[in-house]
Amino acid sequence: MSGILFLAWRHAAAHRARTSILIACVALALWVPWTAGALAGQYDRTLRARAAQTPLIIGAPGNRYDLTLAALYFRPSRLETVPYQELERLQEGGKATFVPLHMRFTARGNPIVATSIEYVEFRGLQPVAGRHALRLGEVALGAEVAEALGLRPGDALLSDPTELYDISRPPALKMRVAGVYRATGTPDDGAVFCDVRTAWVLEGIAHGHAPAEEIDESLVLSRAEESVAVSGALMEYAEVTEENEDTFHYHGDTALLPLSAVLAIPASRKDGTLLKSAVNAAGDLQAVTPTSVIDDLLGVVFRIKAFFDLVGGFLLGTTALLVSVVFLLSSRLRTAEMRTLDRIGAPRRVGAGLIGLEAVLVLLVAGALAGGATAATLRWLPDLVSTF
Amino acid sequence: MGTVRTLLLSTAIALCGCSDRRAGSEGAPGTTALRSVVAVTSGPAELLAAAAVGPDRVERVAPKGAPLDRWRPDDGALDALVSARRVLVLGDEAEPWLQRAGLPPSRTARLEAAVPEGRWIEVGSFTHTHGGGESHTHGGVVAETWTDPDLLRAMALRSDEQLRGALGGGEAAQLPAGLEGRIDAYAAELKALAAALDGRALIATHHGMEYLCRWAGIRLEVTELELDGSGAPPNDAAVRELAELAGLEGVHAGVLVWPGRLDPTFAEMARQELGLRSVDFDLGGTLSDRDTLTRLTRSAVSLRAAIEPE
Amino acid sequence: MTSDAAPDARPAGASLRGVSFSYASSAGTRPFRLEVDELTLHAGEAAAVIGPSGSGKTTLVHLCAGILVPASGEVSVGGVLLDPLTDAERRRERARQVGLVFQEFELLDYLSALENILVPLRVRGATREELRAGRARATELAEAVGIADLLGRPPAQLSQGERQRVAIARALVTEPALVLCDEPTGNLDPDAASGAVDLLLQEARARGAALLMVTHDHGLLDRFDRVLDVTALAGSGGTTR
Repeated sequence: MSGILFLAWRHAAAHRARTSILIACVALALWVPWTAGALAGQYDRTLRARAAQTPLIIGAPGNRYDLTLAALYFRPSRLETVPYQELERLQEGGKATFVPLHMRFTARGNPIVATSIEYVEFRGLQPVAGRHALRLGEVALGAEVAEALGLRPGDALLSDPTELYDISRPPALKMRVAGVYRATGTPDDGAVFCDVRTAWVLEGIAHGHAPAEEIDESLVLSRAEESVAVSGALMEYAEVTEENEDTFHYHGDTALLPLSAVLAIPASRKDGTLLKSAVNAAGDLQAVTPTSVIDDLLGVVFRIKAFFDLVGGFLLGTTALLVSVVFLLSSRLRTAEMRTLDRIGAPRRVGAGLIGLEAVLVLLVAGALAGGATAATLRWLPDLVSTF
Repeated sequence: MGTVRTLLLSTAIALCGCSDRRAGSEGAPGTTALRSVVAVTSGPAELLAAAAVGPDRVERVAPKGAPLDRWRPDDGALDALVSARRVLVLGDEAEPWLQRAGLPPSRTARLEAAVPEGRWIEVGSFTHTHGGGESHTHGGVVAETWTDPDLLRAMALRSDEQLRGALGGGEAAQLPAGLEGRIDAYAAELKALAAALDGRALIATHHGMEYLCRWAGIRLEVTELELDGSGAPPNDAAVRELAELAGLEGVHAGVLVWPGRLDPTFAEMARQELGLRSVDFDLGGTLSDRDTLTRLTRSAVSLRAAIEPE
Repeated sequence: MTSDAAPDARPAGASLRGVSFSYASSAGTRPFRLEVDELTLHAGEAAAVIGPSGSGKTTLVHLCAGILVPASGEVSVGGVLLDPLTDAERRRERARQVGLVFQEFELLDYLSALENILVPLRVRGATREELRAGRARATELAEAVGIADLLGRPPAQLSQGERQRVAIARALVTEPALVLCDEPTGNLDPDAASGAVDLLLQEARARGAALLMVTHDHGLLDRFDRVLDVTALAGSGGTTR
């Protein structure tokens, strides 16, 4: 057998171009379904794991998929906001720990997740350098963001302006990096965390500027005994510093400050059920159980995947047929060689053995390549599925 | 053949690497260890927390005497606040730093939440600087709500409800008896003060007296001198206003109440030129060696003593 | 009937006794039939096989190699009787005891000269030790046939004569009892053919192998110990000299 294997190997090696093309075809035909299957499986596991760890999400009535995907994976979406007082109202009920979430902004393309220390504790985020972002204008970075942007505690990160040509919108805020979190293998690694108040500065609801009586007279529109009206050209601070921190303040009722969603962490399953039904019965908010939303979502995703599996199957079948044709033609071309081997004393059916072993070699190398490519895809492009 | 084996091995290692990366990557939620204390940054919060859970389980985070409207936590204080099982604060009005610090909402109890919407006292506001000092914002909402015995009771009930259960102190129910008695005693002192005033107004240098005066039915005239002990000149308009008030014989009790820091120089000037005796009144907002109720009650007693010769 | 005039004490490289082989022909032609009463080739003995086309020269070679199985009679190679063996055993014996040189040389184009020489060892599943020994023998043979410098080259980079030498080395590498050559000089010019036959004879004799060569080139016959006319193998034993 080793002699025949040697001959098969040497034949394959001598016909490099043909063998390489065959290997490439088979590897490609294997890589596509393997990678799709592995990524879909990983996507499925990751989605479900994240959902399973999050008992309840509360948000404004609307698309529950958007709410869940935004709250769990920070997917950009246009969620209706929930006033902060709703969180306080829920908190009064005492059925759960409620965690505010605000996710409208990005910093160099990474989602800014404005929340509170409870989120960090709930997800088990541990600073690997620095500390949590507890002050206005501070951020703590997920591991991937810190690595991709090369940022460390003490560095600065600019938020992305939402309306580039609208000067009435607040400008980009220069935020201080307070800490970097240890990698968790979850969407948290790709997020920029800050306190929810910082998001309100980004919203333009809170801002800091020079005190009214220190403002350049050219910017003063009117000055009464108890109030000063100033021009909109008054520059707001684009960074919260030790010196100007105390000048940052809110306009309007702080109870109405917006949140994108509220994570609820009930003390017990019963509390969770009661809370969910109470919230949904009241009607002004919706409470969703992430696992059921993700199950629904994956039901649709995996029906689509089944179709692609079928296509992958056809692709694999077609490739197998084409490869068979190539080996069949090869066996015809090698008739003389087989006859020689037969006469020299090679075992019966040496031809089939040679062709078969060569096919096995091609399949093994193609399989190894496809496996390697699949592993590489999983390692370096783990979000390939989610980017579509 | 060696090449094939190497490829297979590499694939296996790569795949193992992938699975290792995923395994156990999710952190267990809620693993942060919290300290079984109530962190406080103000006198009223310390008083009420101690009444609810006992003084041993109350932790001061702000230093003694730190003014509520200007103090802000450093990193160490913030860490202490977020790692406490409960944080008891007055609220954004009395402690503006709360607007700029990320305290845990689920563990932070705000005493101001016990103040009914209509019970807040609003005064005119303006912002200015004087000399080379910091700018100040005056007016808006008066923050010293705890000086009103009824509001203090409401706050005590709220803190009791929010703290007692959280620190394993049993059923949250009613105001601790000792505290109830002390609030009653303070209220009685306020009533006695009002009686002593007999309709005359109190002149104060700060709006901080508003709530207790409203509760006791005491007329209050406030003139904001803006004396901070730095030797900076007083607010001229306020001085003129004070002189006018002082000139109205029989309308006021002949005392100038200092709810903030008493300025000895101005106090002496007021005594000689305006005939007003200066009286210090500790509103009990800051952290101190004595608790808020003790300081409030003593201040009320001292004030009554100061006006009784009349 | 015997093919030998007198008894020989040397061991037999191959012997055929009372062999009858036939197969049906296509419609309209006479059925083919080959009969050999007795044919013995001794170790180190060289015999040429002559006869007209279609007379059974190649069939005789294939019978000696065990590629074809006679309807009756006995064929033995290197003292091993082939008839009772199974197909697999016959193949193993062929790979071990018989060296074959073909008219077209039939080298494998994807192997180097050295690898081609070692093919008989490969196909019989030689062990590492056997292969190591075979490699040493192949080098020695290549030296002997004058292709020592060409062992790394594939057949496409060799001349006809060089290929022939590779084929000769391949036939001898297993140290066979019998070397069978089916018109091995058919594709060579007369000088090269003469040289190749001399080489074959020399190497076979040097290694004590019996040699049976089918040839149409009557100019080469005087180099052989015996010349067999395949048409006369029945009865007279076919020896012409």
